[in-house]
Amino acid sequence: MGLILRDVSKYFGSFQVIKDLSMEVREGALFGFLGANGAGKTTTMRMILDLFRPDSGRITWNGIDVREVPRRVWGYMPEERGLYPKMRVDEQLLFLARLQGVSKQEAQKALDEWLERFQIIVNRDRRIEELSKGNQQKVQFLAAILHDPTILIMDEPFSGLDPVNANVLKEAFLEMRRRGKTIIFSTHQLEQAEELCQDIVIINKGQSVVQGSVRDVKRQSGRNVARLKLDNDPEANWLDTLDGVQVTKRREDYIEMQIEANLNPNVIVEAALQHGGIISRFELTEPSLTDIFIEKVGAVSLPDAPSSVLSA
Amino acid sequence: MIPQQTPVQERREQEQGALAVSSGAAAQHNLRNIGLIIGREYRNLVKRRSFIITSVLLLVIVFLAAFIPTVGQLITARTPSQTQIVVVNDAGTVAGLNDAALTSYIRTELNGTNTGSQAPYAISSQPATNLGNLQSQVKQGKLDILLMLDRAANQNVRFTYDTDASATNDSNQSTIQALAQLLTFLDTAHRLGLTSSQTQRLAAPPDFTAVHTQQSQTTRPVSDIAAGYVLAFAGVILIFLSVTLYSSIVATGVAEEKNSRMMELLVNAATPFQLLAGKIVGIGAACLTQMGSLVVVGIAGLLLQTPLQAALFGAKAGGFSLYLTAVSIPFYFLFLIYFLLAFFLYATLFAGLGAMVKRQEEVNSAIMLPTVLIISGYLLFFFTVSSPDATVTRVLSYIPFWTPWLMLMRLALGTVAWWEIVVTIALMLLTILACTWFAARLYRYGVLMYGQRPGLGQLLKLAFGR
Repeated sequence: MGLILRDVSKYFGSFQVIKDLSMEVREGALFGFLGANGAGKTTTMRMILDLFRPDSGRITWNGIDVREVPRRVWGYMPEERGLYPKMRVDEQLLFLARLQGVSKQEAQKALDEWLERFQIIVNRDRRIEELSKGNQQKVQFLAAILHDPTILIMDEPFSGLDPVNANVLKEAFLEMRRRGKTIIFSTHQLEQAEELCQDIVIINKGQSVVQGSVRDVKRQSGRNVARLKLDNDPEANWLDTLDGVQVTKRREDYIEMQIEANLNPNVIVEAALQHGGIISRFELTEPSLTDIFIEKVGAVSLPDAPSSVLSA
Repeated sequence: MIPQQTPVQERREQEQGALAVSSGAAAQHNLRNIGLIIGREYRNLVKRRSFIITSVLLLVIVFLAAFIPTVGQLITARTPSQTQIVVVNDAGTVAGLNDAALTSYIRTELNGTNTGSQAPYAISSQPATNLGNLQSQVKQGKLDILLMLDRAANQNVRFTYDTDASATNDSNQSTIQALAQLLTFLDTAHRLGLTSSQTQRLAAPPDFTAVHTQQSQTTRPVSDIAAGYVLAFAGVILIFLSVTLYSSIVATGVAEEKNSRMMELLVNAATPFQLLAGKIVGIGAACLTQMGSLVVVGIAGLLLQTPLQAALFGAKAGGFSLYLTAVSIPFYFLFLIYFLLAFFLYATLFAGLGAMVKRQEEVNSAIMLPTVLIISGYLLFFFTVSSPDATVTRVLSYIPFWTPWLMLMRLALGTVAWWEIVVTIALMLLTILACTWFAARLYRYGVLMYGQRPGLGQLLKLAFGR
């Protein structure tokens, strides 16, 4: 069950923004929604929230069409921050929570608790426009969760946050997950997704490119990553001639390459020794989501010049 | 995953429960949400610094304006108002009157029964030898009017009228001209040798009877009509001001929410109808607060005039309270109704259009069409105020966009059947319903439509589509 999208399509005029998108978000999961700018993430989220209606396909939450799901179930944090700039923080948050049907006392209690947790309690009687961007974003997050929704839809929640505030938000995410909430968030900071998410989907031009649990996605890619450093041969140009090996980066500290899943990594070590290399580092690792993202999305979005994206 | 199953499961049941009862509780939610939004909009507006400053300024202006008639009366009372006229007769006897008799005749003719300091004109005569001196006195403004009589070649009396007033500011010329006409008539009759009784017969007014076959307004006392004018003007201006001012506040508010993306949160929490209704009623309440306090202060100012005038002018005091009581209570009640209907009609339209704009700066061009409707209704009032019972006025007053102004004027100055009130209110209510429905749809789709500017065809598709 959970949230299911089936063959969802959406047109803006004659332009198809979303193409037969299907995906599934398990209940209680922290779900990463990844894609380049303009891939259709925001549009999809708005369709999940029934702000837009899909032109075809169906979106259901636990088997119920999202149009029928009570509004209180959803918590939404839009990408472009939206709050009344001239309204006080506490008045604003209480107004929104009560609009969602929370009693005044309950809303007040939740507000006190979260302002404390986010360390912005001193800002409670200030206007939104007087707050720093990071604090505005915290208030925006509170606006999404104060009515105790079941599903959180967060559009780029981490953009523009410094590492300290990003960490506060991450903690809040984990707390919401502990409380059994389902969280869907979009990002292009892939390390964050890798760190937080169980499941992800990567979409490009409105189509699903890859989806599943992070581990499956990495396994599906059918590749492993090896890192090699030779003290006496930093370029190791002979690597380019090895079958099943593709060098992706030549960095100062190591050379990174993707190797086919069925290739025994020992081949690389043997070749290095044959070329008289002195090995100071050799490690095998899984591809990062960044690698997979660039491989999948880069190939689709720039079919004519994949190499320039890969070396970037 | 497994240990979290239990709370999630529970919540799911709650949700489905909430879904089942949601239709039953919908009306209650509607009221609660609309109430919350009304409260927010009202507080947001009346707490604004610009709102407070404007209100205080308007209150002061209205209060002071109530004193204008009294001050005017005071100024008139303090300035000497007698017009000095010197007659120089170089025409010999005129109509058989010598100089002294002529002067006394002119005095009676101009002043009527008023004598002494009550008389508007002070008349004296001087010999022709002083003419040059008198002419320069008029030029310097020491003398108001110099009237010279002599005879032309054909023996007719010739009048020369010198005044210290300019051509555009001369309030006496017509009076003096009428006097000259009368004297010429009498003088000619005298020279023709007519007896005074013959002259009187010649001057007798025509026997003329007018029969008005249509019902006349004589049932309404004059004071009632005067009060009607004052109230109609005040009411029309009040409605015009409120509608233009506050409807555009509604439109700007919607555009602002859309601009700050507040809308995406709001439409997730409340229905478009709730948002629309809450915003309009909240801003309307702020409008009523401002206009209501203006009316109260204005009335208080007018009521102050009666004792003030009694103190200043004694028994001569006029009654301003006349305006407040001469027109019946139903008029005030109907005024309030048309006021509210006008506001709701235009605010709804403005809200729908406000949701259509991309940026706040575009609001003004988007609300052009309804603004033209408002201004045309306001202007129609001035075109029809002289003929409140004409057919064209009646027909125009049925058009809902103009009803508030024209019906108000007809109520104050003309005759209105009770069913006309019912019909116009019903028509307005229907139009408001249609506008609300239209605006809610525009709102629902418009608030989330960024980037693309809809054409008229697309607007209609949005309104009547799925």
